[in-house]
Amino acid sequence: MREPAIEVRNLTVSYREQPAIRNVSFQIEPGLLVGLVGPNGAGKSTLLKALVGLVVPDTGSVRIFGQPVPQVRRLVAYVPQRSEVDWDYPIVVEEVVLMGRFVHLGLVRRAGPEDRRVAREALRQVGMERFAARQIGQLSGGQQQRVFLARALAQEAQVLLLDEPFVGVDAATEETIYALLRRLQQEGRTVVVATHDLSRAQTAFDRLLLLNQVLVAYGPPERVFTPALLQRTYGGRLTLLEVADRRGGIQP
Amino acid sequence: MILHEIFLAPMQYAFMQRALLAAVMVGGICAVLSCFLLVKRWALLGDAISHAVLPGVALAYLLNLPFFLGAVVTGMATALGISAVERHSRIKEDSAMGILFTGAFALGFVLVSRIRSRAIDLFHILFGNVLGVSDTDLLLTAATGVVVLGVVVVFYKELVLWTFDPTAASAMGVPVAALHYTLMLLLSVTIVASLQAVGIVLVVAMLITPGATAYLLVDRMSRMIPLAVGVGMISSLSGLYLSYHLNVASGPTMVLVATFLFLLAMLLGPREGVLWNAARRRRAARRVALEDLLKQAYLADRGEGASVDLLARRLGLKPSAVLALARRLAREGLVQLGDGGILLTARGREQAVTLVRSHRLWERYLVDRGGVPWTDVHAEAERLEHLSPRELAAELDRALGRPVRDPHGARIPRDEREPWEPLRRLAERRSGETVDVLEVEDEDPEVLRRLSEKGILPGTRLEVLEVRPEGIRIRVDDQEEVLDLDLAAAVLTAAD
Repeated sequence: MREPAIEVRNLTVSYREQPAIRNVSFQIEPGLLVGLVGPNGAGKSTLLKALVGLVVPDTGSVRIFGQPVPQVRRLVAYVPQRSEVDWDYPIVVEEVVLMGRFVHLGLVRRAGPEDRRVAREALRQVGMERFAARQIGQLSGGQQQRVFLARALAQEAQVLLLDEPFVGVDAATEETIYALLRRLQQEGRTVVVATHDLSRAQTAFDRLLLLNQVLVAYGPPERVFTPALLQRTYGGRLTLLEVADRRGGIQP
Repeated sequence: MILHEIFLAPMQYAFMQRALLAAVMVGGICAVLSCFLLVKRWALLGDAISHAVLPGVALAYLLNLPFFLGAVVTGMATALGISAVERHSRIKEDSAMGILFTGAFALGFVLVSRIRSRAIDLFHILFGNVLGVSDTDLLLTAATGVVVLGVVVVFYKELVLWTFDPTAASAMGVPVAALHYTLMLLLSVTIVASLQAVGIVLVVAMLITPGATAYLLVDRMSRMIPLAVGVGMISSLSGLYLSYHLNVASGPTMVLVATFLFLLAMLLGPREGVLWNAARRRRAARRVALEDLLKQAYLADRGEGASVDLLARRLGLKPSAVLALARRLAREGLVQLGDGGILLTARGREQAVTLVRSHRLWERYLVDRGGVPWTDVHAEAERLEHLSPRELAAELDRALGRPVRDPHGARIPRDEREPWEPLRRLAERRSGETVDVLEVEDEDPEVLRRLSEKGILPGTRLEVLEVRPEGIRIRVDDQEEVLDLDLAAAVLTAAD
């Protein structure tokens, strides 16, 4: 059996004493397109950030291809939410894509001709080579997503983590991005997409990970996209565990 | 001779030579950092640190240590304190800065007032004394410059990655915390090194303005930094010369030159220059007004020319304004001005038809493809018609399957040779006539709503029962309705 691309065990992460996700465990086999779904505030971003070592877990562990995160940074690419990026930043498309080469260059060393070639090729793959010299804020939402995907390709990452890539893009662009993600998956990469939009989840992904602070379910859509599980993910935000926690908090 | 007077004469003094060197170096160093402060939104952190060095200077004096050391220590301590307050309380960054830097500044003031010594000249610390720069100061500034430039050159890639996308940067293993504190330290050191030249109040300007000026002019960091350095150095240099010749304080003069350059970039910048944008907007607005007049003249014309007064009413303009626009159209060879009013030339007719055609095609498109209610599409089409070259209209036509009429029943003209459709207003009809509604006037959404409520749409057949001064009684779909004359005037029927 192959080593899982992502393996999470008993992961709990808190912000200011408030647990954001608790006791989450799952394994994702390589080469799957996975939808990470759950309502706003379910901890989707926190989970993605834990997968790249951006937040320190209270308990539990994350392994990528069997290794702890710091040792496999170059294999994992993270595409942030739109709102986390300053779109007025004085930077052009090809410079953004070239950033993906950082993991191969390390500190101080500058990008060489080979890095530029890889970056150009990545841009070509997402169909954005014509925009190489364009300032990043002058692109549409979908084009910006494609540039960030190109950065992940330039990084030659095997695991791609996307945080809400469909926020603020129109339906046609959403199609293009899904098609692109599918192609990346077919080339053997593992792709995890956080989204709170259920309408496409059933058909677009190989696996669904239902999250609402705890892991509700993980599996193929035909097994986990059921009314009961969705109700547990989206309905009644107050889980029993939370109720118990609150009771505990009141006692001296 | 004059050049000699202006540029070389001041240089006969050693203090001016030193001042010049110091000013240019400070201008350059601050400018490099200003680019990163701008994208990191740290402009106010520069302000905070610059005020926080004051107690350090006083303490260093009391403890008999170098000023430089004390200033860097209290500057850094305040910067770290701001982060700490932000992390450990609900106070946000701006308030945390305000609290700590005013506190530190006040402490500095108290200490300085206690010392009452001539060794610390508060005015010079606040506003600089570039003319009193010593060789040691120069050396210190030069060393700071080497360190700042060195760090930025060596870690350029990391600094850009971190300031642009901090989340991905730390996911890729960029040491973001180290960069954060390094930039803070560089900022503190630079501020202290600039004290002598521009003072702590004005150094803030040199740490913000040159970067902001460059930011308006170019769209990538690799060009922004050299440009900002140029702006910073020119500001210092010309500020110093100006202050010498006008006999005014040098630090503030340098800042004023920097501010002036910023305003210049803001007004004249090629990308976002306020003046260019305003000119572009004015030209576009004028073009729209001309095209609107041309179209209305065409629609009102029907062969014999449209009067200026009528067009002024239609367009909601003064007759004099219409006349001015018409003269412009005449100069372009699109209309002729005669006794009867405004008469379109062949070329004017061609352009007017293009406008009418794209207006009506857009209405059709918005209703059929955009799902916009037919009562509301006129205003949007009014805007779009001015932005539609002929090819776009052809494409719309194709996409819509070559429609004949717009959603209000008006014919979509193919070209200017197409004859007018004979129409009569419902208001002009006589009792007993049975008529077909061909078109309804679309300018007023309210009129359209009222008409559609009564079931009067293009294609409806109706019978005129009675015409009275206050309204017209009709039968439509076996129901009787009364239309006031305003409403009846908006309904166009096929002339028999």
